[in-house]
Amino acid sequence: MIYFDQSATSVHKPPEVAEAVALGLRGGYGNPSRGAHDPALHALQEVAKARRAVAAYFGASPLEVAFTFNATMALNMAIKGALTTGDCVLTTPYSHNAMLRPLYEMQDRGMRLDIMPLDQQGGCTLAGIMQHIRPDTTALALNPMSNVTGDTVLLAEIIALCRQRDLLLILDMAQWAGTRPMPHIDNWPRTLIAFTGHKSLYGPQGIGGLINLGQVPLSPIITGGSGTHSFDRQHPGVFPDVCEAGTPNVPGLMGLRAGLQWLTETGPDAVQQRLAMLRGRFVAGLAQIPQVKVYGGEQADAGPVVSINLGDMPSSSLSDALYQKHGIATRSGAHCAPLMHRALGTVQQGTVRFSFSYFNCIEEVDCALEALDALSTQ
Amino acid sequence: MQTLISFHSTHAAMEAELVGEEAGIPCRLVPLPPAIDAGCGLVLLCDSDVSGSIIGLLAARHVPLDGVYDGRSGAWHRRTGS
Repeated sequence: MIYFDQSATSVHKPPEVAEAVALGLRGGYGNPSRGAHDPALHALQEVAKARRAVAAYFGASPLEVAFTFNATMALNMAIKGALTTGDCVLTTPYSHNAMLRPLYEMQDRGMRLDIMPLDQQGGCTLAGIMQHIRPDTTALALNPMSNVTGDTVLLAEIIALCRQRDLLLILDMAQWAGTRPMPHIDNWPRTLIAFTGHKSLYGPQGIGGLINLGQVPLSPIITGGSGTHSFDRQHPGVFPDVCEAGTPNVPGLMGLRAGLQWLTETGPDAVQQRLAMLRGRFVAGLAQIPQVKVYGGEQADAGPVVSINLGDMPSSSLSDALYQKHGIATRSGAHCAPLMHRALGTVQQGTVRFSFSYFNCIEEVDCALEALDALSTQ
Repeated sequence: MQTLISFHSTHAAMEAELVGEEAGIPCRLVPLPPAIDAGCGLVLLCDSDVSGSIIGLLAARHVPLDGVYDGRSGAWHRRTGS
């Protein structure tokens, strides 16, 4: 099987990740924050080490990192916990439903939501974003890398724009994180960064988090046991506790830390270069295959995602044929990105998405090209 | 003389212990004594003569404290200004 569905989750992970998760299960770890005996303290220390690893990757301080079970949960906490009905939020068609549905929920409660269109080239430019910021816009909710086309935004410039305009920035880094280095930012605006561990950070499923830069006040969305302030009726408001009700996934966090350690040792630049090489070879090969249409992704630094169709063939049929006849795993359909597919005109057909991992190789890319070539002539 | 440092969050408490360990300052987390009013059930215990060093490090690393208490054996007195 050739796996090209990294944007859904990473199947091939560094072996250290599984070893770390296994240690988390058999190492006698207790419930962190729930006691002062060694099993509990050792678990709490593992959580703290994972927090430090995430902070180091994203350029944050450890106590600016809260753990959740995925990016969706983190985005719900950011959007429903930081925004009010008095806010005016701008987002883009790159947004995934993990961002859009909480925004729509807030819109239904009275918050104003603006959605900017893509430009004529199908991109989301800095100028376009600036054009759609109103005088009363208070926040920008942004996925900086489309999970459909791999197109990216000028993240560092947008961060600077938010700082200049004093906009709250809510970033969905589920696709971006791990595929390239984080931009080096000395002076972040108020920013809430949602990430997931199981895609290109190479951790296990069931771990993610929210990074709070600038001490953005958050209301708790999920309340319950915190291990602190037990006689208070309300969940603690201090970050990260405000986002961490209940028992965390300690083995998963140990796996996430191992994934981040592998990423750091491999080097985010080296990872980006390898992914760009695989993507570039694939896109160049696609240009030689009749009937293939590639959607977006024309930027030189697009992320490791390519969406295509073959003539009028439904994307579900093409994806199924790729897997059943050639053992190539892709993702068809709408990719939880309805605005992007509306903008691309692919609501009915969907697209077949190929997304690459550091652990893919040139030979696998060539196999996919041969398979598509064969399917195009049938 | 010993010092207890209390926190608003167990995560801050554990980060404080890691900061102390990295700096080679002997310290450890212990359960919150009943005489101290703090929301977090863990406090950092260290000798008083190294408490200034660790408090300075925690400030530099943005680890917020709740309070600082000096004493021993159940008789803890909140340090002025903490």
